[in-house]
Amino acid sequence: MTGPGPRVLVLGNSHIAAVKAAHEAAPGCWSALDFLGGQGEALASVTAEAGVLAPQDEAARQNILHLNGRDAFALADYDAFVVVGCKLGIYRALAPYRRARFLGLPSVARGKVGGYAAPVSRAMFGMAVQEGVAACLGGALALRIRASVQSGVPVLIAEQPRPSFDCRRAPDRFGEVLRAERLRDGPPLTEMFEAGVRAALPGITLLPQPSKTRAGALFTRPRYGNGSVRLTAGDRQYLHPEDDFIHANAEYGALVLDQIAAAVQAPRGTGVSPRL
Amino acid sequence: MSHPYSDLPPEAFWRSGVAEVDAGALTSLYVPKVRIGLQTRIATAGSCFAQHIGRALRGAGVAVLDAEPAPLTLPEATARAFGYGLFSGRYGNIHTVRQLVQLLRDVQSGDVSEAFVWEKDGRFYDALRPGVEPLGMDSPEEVLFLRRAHLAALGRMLAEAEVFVFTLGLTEAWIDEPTGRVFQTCPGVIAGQFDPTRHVFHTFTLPELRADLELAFGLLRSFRKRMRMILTVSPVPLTATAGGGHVLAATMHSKALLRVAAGEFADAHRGVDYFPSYEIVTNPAARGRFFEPNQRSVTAEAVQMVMGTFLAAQGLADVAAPSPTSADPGEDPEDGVVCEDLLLGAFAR
Repeated sequence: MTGPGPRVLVLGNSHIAAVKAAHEAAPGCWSALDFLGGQGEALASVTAEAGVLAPQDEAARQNILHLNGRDAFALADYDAFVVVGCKLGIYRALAPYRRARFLGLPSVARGKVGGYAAPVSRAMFGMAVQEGVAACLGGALALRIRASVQSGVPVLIAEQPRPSFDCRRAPDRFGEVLRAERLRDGPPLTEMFEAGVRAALPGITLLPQPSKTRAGALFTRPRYGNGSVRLTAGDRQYLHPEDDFIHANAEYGALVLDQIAAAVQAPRGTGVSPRL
Repeated sequence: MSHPYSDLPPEAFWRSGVAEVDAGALTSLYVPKVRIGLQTRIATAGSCFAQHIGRALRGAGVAVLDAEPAPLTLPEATARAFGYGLFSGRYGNIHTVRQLVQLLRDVQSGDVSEAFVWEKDGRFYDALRPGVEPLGMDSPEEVLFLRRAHLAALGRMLAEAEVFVFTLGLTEAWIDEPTGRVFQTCPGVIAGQFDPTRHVFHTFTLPELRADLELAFGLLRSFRKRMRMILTVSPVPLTATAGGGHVLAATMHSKALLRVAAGEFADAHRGVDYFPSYEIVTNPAARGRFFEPNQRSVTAEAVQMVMGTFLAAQGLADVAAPSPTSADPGEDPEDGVVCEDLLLGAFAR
């Protein structure tokens, strides 16, 4: 890690690639960062033992070592921790929405509960969101870090971007979110998600998806998804397929870095952030 | 010299039927009149003990109906706290026969009323099942919205049910005098406000129990013509009595009335059976071993005994081993059982 300002460790799954790409494109723009990336569920086995964050599972260790060049990170080396993506996003509210509806939803107010979804109380829906938030890869990881560092050390979580609005081209994969948008249920679902994070992740600050990247309540503007790259070990970048619709690009990553800098009060450098 | 007792089987005599027999190995105690099979669609309701029955029947592979399965991927304990998976509907404990009659009438009519919405700390509760939303609801409208959905789901379930298993739990209840509505819990315990000018304590009498059982059976058959009933009496004592006497005497009085009412009602109707879960658990030969140290909760062994007896008599014991709340003696059989009346224990001095 180089440069002045707080020392920050950014942890994440495939969604960390957007942040990493932004940082690599303009290294002088933000405070120096270290990255702990892990593909798939690799971060699920990362725990803090004797003050060191490391995977406890051999396959995860190999993956993290390959991606980051090291497999252990001393907690004391950092002033703040940021979990990126890791399934912590609007999907946590969309999962219960697949099977349940509450009265505060505009669709329910218009009498469109639907035969496949059961009516539940708002409180119970919120409880389901909270359970999902705490149990998902990012929520659980953030909680483990929170429990391992002093209360004054910031632990942040940057939510996974919403799907690109271009996902309309794949209605079979994104049927639920498209239905929610059509029924105008997005805003209360967003509220549910954010309230769920506050309740389920005490002491952890949510960095919500930057507002300028959003399309409606439930989508990401396509310009922030186009050209997204995979999480890889080397410098060479591999693009996601055009119909990925899930991952964001470096331009989006730059906005997340701005959020991180503001949250940890790091001085911003003079570099130019990427505009792809 | 021959007389009526000379040729009776061993179970007809106390010594050979009870005193000299292990309490866990009673035979011929239950000969089913209402037969069920794995495909029989069963609905369950009643007091806390009925939750054990539902779970054990499900565990044995019996087709226990669930009108309102938990729609969300919640941990089981959370789902149960919200009243899911306890009975065949999300009605919580139905302690009295009058409560059952009232619910069946509500299902029939679909009527809901804001008069039975309770408030506590800015949250709102369904006064007729206040325990199923432990966090309360946002508004009276939400309470009524969910109650309408609840009644509609029960209507669909009851139209499918072939056998209704009902466990009678209490004879004591609190009634809203102006309307005659009976509550699941005393107003003020979970939510709402106790109003001595309208909330009256009542102990149902034997004639009232008989009449309510007739009404309940008739209402059940209005949903499905040939629905049959299996009645049981909960062996779980009262948590508290508001009748002015000792809780032990109140418990014995209540259980005696319920036992008589259930037995007589079953004797009088071809489509109604009585299953002696109460007798199995309170058998003196068990020397109290079927109760936990609190002398109220029923042990896992007892639940297994009760359901083993039931399933064996129904010819279902070989199909699947009964799996009640717990077969592990180290586990608390009350885990996962939701009893609103336990809240009354908190008021004990």
